[in-house]
Amino acid sequence: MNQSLRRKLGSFWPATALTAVTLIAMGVVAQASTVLFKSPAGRPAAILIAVMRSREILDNAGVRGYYERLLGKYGKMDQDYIYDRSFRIFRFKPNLTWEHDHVTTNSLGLVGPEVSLRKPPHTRRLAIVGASLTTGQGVQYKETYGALFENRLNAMQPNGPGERFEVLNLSCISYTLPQIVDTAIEDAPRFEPDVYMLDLNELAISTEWSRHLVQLTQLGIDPKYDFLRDIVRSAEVSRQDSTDVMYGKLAPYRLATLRGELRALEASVASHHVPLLVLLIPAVEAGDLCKRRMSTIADVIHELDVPVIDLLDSYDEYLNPSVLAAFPGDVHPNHRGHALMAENLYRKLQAQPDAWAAVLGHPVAGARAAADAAHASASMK
Amino acid sequence: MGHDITAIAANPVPSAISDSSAAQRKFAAPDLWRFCGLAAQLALLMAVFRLYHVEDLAFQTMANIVCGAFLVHYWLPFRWQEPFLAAVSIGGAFLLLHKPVPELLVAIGLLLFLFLRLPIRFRWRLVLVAGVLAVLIYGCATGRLPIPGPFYAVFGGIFIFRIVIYAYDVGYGEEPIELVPFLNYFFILPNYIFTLFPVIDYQTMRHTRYQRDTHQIAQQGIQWIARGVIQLCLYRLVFYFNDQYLPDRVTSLRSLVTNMVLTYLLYLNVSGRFHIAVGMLHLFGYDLPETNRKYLLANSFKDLWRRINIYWKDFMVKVFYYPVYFKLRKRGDFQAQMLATAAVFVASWLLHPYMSFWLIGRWTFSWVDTIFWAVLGALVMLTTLYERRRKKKPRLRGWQASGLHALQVLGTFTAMTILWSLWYSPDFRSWTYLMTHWMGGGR
Repeated sequence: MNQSLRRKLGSFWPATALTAVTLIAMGVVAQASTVLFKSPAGRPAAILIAVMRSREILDNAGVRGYYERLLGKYGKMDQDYIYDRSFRIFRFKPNLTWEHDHVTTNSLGLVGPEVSLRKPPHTRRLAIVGASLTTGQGVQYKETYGALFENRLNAMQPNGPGERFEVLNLSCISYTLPQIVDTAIEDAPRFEPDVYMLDLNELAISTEWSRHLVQLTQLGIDPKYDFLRDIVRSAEVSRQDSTDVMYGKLAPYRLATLRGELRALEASVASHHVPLLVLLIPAVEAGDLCKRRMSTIADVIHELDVPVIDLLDSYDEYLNPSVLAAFPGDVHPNHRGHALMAENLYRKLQAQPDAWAAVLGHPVAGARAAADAAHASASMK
Repeated sequence: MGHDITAIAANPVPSAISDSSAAQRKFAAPDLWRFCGLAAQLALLMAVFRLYHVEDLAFQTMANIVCGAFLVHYWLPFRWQEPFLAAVSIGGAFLLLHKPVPELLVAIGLLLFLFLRLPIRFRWRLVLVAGVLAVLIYGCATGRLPIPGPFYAVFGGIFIFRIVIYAYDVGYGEEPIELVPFLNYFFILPNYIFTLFPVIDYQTMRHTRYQRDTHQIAQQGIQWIARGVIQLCLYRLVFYFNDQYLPDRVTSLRSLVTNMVLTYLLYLNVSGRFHIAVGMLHLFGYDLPETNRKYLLANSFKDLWRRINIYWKDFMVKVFYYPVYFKLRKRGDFQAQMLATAAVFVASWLLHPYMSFWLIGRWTFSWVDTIFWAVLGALVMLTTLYERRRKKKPRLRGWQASGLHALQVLGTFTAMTILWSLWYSPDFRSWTYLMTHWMGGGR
């Protein structure tokens, strides 16, 4: 730029042009990511751009430093729970309504409509235990993947018109794995389920995995299970510790605790001679964050002696899965996200004969035939 | 300047610049084409905010209010500009915050203003202000006052540090206590959303208003906002890559180094927000200095202290360093410098938990905080000592100087990364676990 032109423009216009070009380039990059995502070579770059555009990935904070604590968001749903000094500390109140509480529970405190305690005749009961993703935080009960899966089974009638399916949702928002497992061990048998389905998701195994143990210690409640008592003892966690110190002390015991919980569940379910399925449930996050987080417990999952249904790819078609979030910046899926999960669950179950056999209550060979029949029926429809 | 810690005055007020109203008026003169240039960039910024989902919906609303206010403020006669900004900022509180937080905020803000204006001795005015804060601390700690929880975070983000600076400036200065400057100093639109906010200096804010051409000031503000957005986007990437390194997953030296570097880089979240916040004030003629300046390139701890969260450093220097230094100067300049520096780090150590008390309702005192601030303070003092001695030696030149500088930058970055990883650990045992877990192959 020559001297006179520079004088004429001053420092304002060059700075303006530079800033404008930067901002336009940011817009172009954001738009280009959808194109890049379609080609295998461009996919990694597209994912990084998607991460930069994603607010959801910050929702389940992975670090607990000074500034992250200050900037964290602390939601409360106290009014939806009954608190007691039990191992689980809290549970849903019965008869919550969507209109008033944004969660629907029946008179027994289960998510969804009324169900009988005893299993009705000609009914196959599937009990799902989990936390907020399975409860359907932010969506109505009928839109949750559990309810949609039940509808799908009853529409397809894989066991013939004489038998209907009932999916009981025993999940509770804010539960971590010990509470989920305890629900499966203590509450679920009362409903005589034919199959147990465990929602295993990143929210239960990532940074906040030890939240429940921390709360138990703070409240002075016995950890109930021997392996948990051992872990609390080994970690030297005490009521005098601050919350963050407790998290820090428990951090080395993450995998041991997860293993212990899953083994306790397997043993309990086996004692009832009922099959157990583990569902790997995705949260709504860009960059395959939930796959990355779940990969940290890959060894624990491989050790399981039960069918594992991996639904983590349910949102793979979406570069920016934020369109599937119940609220902006939230990791819980909306009705579309749940529909994708339900569809994926049905498909994956059919593709895994042992799991499908467990759902239908058939021997594996029979289940394969039923899956083929259901597939043929679906094709005809 | 004798006192090293303040060697780079972060709030330089160029001597040639007059803060007289006439000069400000001249610098505030509008220009249609330049206004169009600024407005176009703001439109682009709004689009980028949406495309990159910068912060939440409340932030987007606040950004819209700021941009709308700029478009009007720019064309207003000079004398109406500050009252207009105060009105928009107060009105913004009612749009951005849930009832009754804005009502309480304005009421208590005005009460503090009235107390500071009372025709009584200044120390009694301070007692009244401290009384208000004490009552609110009691309310925040016990929840026994009929005040909703979210109020305390917003009040804390706005008042707890700036009221100290304001009281200091009006107590020692000769400026009259006026309502509009008071409102514009405290009721800052981005502060409703960013409760973690740079500790803006009152005098600097007053003196830098229209200290140069309004278009240049606004242009720099837009640049800083854009920089802040980029830093927040990079923060997400850092967060994403750091996420997999839960302490039990740090199973190799490489993963430990990655974890530590990424943990330090998480500060991008703070610097990004601060750039956006101060950039927005530039749109209204406040030519405030940078909040963070290339802190990753600091070549010593003293240099780092001058570059990272500069407003905090200035706050500490003004309220703690100078008073201690001038009180002790008679005992010897160097001794006074050291003790004043120590006072600054003790104050920083105490005030960080105080801030977390207001913002999240919890005191966060811990041993790692104590170690972090003690080590940082000691390193700054050692650097001061080292530089004082080095002054007597001949300086290196050419490639030797460049090489030494590069080594110093690398050394400072490495040491800060280690120190930061300690600060981010809940306790010393957790940090030791993080540092050593990889040695056994993660078993």
